[in-house]
This record gives sequence, C-alpha cells and structure tokens, in this order.
Amino acid sequence: MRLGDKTMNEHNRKPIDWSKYVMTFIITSLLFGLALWVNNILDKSRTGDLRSLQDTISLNILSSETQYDLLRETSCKNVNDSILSTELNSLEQKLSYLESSQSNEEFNHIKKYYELLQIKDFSLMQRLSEKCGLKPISILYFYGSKTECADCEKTSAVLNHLRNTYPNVRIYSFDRRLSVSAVDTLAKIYKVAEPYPVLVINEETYKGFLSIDKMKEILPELKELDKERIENSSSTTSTSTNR
Amino acid sequence: MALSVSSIIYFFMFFLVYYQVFILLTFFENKHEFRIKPAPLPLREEELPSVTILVPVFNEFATVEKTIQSLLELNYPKEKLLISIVDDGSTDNTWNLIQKFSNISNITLHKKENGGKYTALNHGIANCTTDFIGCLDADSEVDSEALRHIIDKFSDKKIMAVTPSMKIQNPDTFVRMMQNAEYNMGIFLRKIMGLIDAQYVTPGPFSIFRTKVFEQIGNYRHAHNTEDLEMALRMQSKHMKISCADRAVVYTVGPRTLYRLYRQRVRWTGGFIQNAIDYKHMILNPKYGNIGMLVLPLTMWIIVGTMFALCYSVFEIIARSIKTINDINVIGWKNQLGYFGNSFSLDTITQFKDWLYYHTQGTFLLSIFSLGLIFFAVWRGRKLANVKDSKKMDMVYFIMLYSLISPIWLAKSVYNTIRKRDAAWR
Repeated sequence: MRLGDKTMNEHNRKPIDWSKYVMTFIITSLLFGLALWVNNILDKSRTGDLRSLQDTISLNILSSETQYDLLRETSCKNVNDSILSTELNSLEQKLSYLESSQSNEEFNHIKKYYELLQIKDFSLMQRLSEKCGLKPISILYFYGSKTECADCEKTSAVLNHLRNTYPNVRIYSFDRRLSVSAVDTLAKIYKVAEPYPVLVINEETYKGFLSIDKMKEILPELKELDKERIENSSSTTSTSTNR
Repeated sequence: MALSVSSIIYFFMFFLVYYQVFILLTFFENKHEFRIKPAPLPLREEELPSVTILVPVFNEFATVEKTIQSLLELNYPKEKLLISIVDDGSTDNTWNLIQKFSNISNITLHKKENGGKYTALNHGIANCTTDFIGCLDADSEVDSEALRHIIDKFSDKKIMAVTPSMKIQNPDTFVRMMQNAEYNMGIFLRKIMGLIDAQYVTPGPFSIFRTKVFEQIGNYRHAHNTEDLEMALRMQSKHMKISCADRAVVYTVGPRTLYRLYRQRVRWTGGFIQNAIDYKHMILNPKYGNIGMLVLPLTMWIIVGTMFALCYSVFEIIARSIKTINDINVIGWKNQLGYFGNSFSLDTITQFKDWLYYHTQGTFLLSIFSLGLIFFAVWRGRKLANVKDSKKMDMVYFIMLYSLISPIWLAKSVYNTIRKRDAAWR
C-alpha cells in the first residue's frame, strides 16, 4: 500500500463540473424568484388590508356627512364627538409602521388617499363645531423629509404621545413631500410654508418644535383632561379599596 | 437607504443560498455514499500497514490518560501501531503521569522544550518510520474501530490523507450540546467536501496521512496557530486528495463555557481567514477545482456578508437607542416608561394579531430555507456517524445561540486579521 512516485498535478483531482455550477445558479435563482414572488403576494395582501381600512373610514365619513345633512335642518342635541370616524388613528399607526419598510408608488398612493380622508374628516369636524358648538381638539401637522426637517422626529414623538394619551385629540399629519393639491390648498389657508415642522392648533399656525408643556399651554383642555384622568384613576382606586 | 441595504443583503444571501444548493445537489448526486454500510472491513490483519499516532501534549494532565488508553484499545495489531507521545514542555504533572505508559512496547515518550503544537508534531514526524502517520490531540478519544475505517480508505492510491468524524464527548452543558449539533453538521459537511475534493482542514483529532505527504510538501508550520488547516490547504494547493471516513468516530472534549468556546473559535476563524489569505492564489482559480472556485471564495464572501449584517445590526441598534433617548428627552422618561408598559397591554397584543404587522421579506423566507438545510445537515451527519445521540435539545441551543454569538467571534477574528494578530491557543 505504498504511494506510487506519481507527481501530483491538477489531473489528480476531479475536474470541475461546470454544468453543476450552472444548475446550482438556476435553482438558486428560482428559489430567489419564489421568495420574492411570495413576498410580493404578502405585500399585496397587506396593501389590501390598508385599502379595506380606508374604505371603512371613507364609509364612516360619508355616514357622518349624511347624518350631519339630516340633522342640519333640526337640532344638534343628538350630535356629539362620536359622530366622527374613530379609525383614523388606527390607519395612521399602520401607515407609519409600513413607511419604514415600503416606499413604492402604491404605498404613496394609499398615503395620498389617507391625506384626503383626513382633510374630509377635518372639514366635517369644523362644520360640526360651527353648527353644534362641539369642541373637539384638533392639530394639523405638516412635515418634510428627515434630512430637511431636524425637528420633525421630535415633533412626531410629542404628537404620538398626545395620540396615545388623549385618544380624543384629532391629529392630522401631512407629508409635504407628496404633492396632493387639497393639502396644498389647506397649507395656503393656514399660511404653512417651509421650514417644517409646522403645526396648526386652534386656527393658529406655529413653526418649529413645540414641547408637551408648550402644547398644554396652547391647549388648556389637555390640562383639564389630565385632571379628569387623575380624578378617575383616584376614584377607581378608592372604589377598589372599599370592596 | 432601506432599499439599498436590503439589496446588499439579498446580494450576500444569494451566494449563501448558492453554496447551500450546491451542497444539496452534491448530496443527491452521491446519495448512495450516505447509506449506512455494514460494519465488516475488507482489509485483513496482514494487509494492514504500520501506523504512527503522534500525541502532542502540553499541560494535558486531566485528559491525556484517557486519550492514550483509547489508542491502546484500538482494534489494530499492536505491532503495527506505534504511539509516540511528545511532551511540548508541560509545566504541570503531565510528563510524570505519562511515565506509567513507558513500559508498553509500542509507546515511545519524548520531551522537548515548549515551541507550540506544530513543533511537537514535527518532532514526532522526524522520528517516524511507518508508511502512515496521524495525530491525536490529547483532549480526544478514538472509537476502537476508527483506525481500521480510516486505513480502509487508503485502498484508493490517490488518497493522501483521511479525516475522521468528530463528535463532542459527553455534551453535558448547553454550550457543549450546541457544539454537539454543530459537530454533527460538520460530519455531513466534511463528507460533502470530501466528495467534491474540497476539504480545507485535516483536524488535529485523528487525521491520518501517508508519511510521504510530509516528505513531499514539508512539515507542519505555525500557520496562525491553525496548523491543521494550513496543512490541508497546502495539500490542496499541491492537488493531494483528502478523503473522510465518516464511520471513524473521534470524541473530543468541547469547551465547557461560552468564553472558552469564544477563544477557540476566534483562533479557528482567524486561522481560516489568515490562511485563506496566505493561499489566495487558489481563490477563483479553476486549477484548484471546487475548493478554488467554490469553497474558499464563497466562505470568504459569506464572512464579508456576515460582517456587513453585523455592522448594519449594530448601526440599527445604536440608531434606535438614540431615537429612544431623544424621545425620552422630548416627552419625559415617565411617559416613555408608560409606552414600554403599553407595549405589553392587551390592546397591543390584539393589534399584533393583525397580519399587517408581520413584516416578512424575501430574506426571511430564504432564511427558512437555509435553516431547513442546517437541520437536514445535522440530522444526516448524526445518521452518517451511526452514533446514537440522546441529546434532543442540542439543535435548539445551536439554532438559538449560534447565530447570536458566532458573529462576535467572527468580528474579533476579522479584527485580529486586520491587526495581523494571531489568536492565543488558550
């Protein structure tokens, strides 16, 4: 079993099977194609979910407008805040979640539609306020790209906090990078211009970052809501203690 | 930014999946090679050649006795098996301990000044008179049939070295159980690499060579403290065939703690990268077959990809931490804590039942394919060595922890390579 004195050269090893390399390439490409195809289907299903949510909001707004039209001739006693759609926050949440992962045309289209729905909701809310004396708290938020708007991220954090803490506060956010003519008109009405962020609170336009404390100064209703929450929580505690 | 990063990840992933598909195709092409063969060996006792087994030792007081004992219990004619124990200047009681074997006729003891494992091996090679020579690390034990399974492979005159199937001895801690699964996968992969002439390591525990190999290509080198890896690459660069004997089982003591495992892997991975750089003339050179065209370039490429993914993950973690800190500055830590509390509220859980929040990407689906192949490799490796494993949790530890901790030692190995530093042995 001694090794022969044969010199070692490349003929000693198996020759490369190039057809196997090509076959591997084809199978790998097919696997990638399959993964991307499944991913595309999942994306479409996700977009479909958003569209169905938009339809719900659209239906809610239409229903509110019809209700408003019916009540216009009579009194406001049956009208309260609940007439407004409650789904907007949910859609906003989903859109901001998807914004980080999707930036295709279809997504931008959905976002534009969402902005139009916000304007419709805002306009309906204003009409209700005038007619029936409702005072829902609303904030319009205009923002730009991260690079051009240093304070937008901070402002978003404050508004997210308000949205989570005070579900009745209606926050309408508008991405100024999208060209939606109705948003342009809204911006003109409130004299919104760069630099962003710009906030419109109670018809007043504020440029730059506003802290939570500043917001509460502008919107004393928030402080009242805080008080109510504290009272509610203390009464809940005392009730449970008495049990 | 997000799009370009995901494109780069797809790009790296393509090569990883390519490598895995190639392995899978090789398996299906050679399925008959993976069938469990019956135990009887074709070689008769008189046909068996003489073999020298070198046991380099350095402060191996705890394990060397069992290592030598396992060699003495090998099913191999005593007169054809020479055991040469080389003490590389141990400072503990190892030398005194091994004196108890000095009266056994086929055991020789040598002591030399400390110079590193490769010098101990070369000392043994210099005194070798047999046709075959092998090494057994002093923290390993061999199965009694291992040598005969290996020698059987040398019936093919072209085969110059044969590697064994390595398993973890007594996988008692979760770190060892994790390695147990990894070593089972290694058995499968080594078989595949053997089939495509692309083995890039002849492991210290019980790789056997024709003695002519050292005459033709020289002795062991320092090789960034991974002399077994360099020897295999040198053999491949000289077109010497390395096979593997999957039924030749060797049990090795795996690192018991995560820190020891980390140290070992920094040495192994760093050694691979630095030796691959030393043998860069083989990379993408069809003259060197599959090792030149597939294994070396793709392994290096996957290391680059893993480093990219690691850097990106660190960048993401830092960016998110900065955002959280900024949010705390803006809305106050009490409100931020409130959010963390809300994250576990019932509403949030209900919200996450929504399909929309399950953000799947193509890379995720491809990762499932990769993971499936890893499971397959571990399972086939276990079957191949024909050893019953009672540890059921090893796969769980392997999958859960390995992907988390291996990028850390990879990063350290890359850092060492950049700083031209060799990792320490212990």
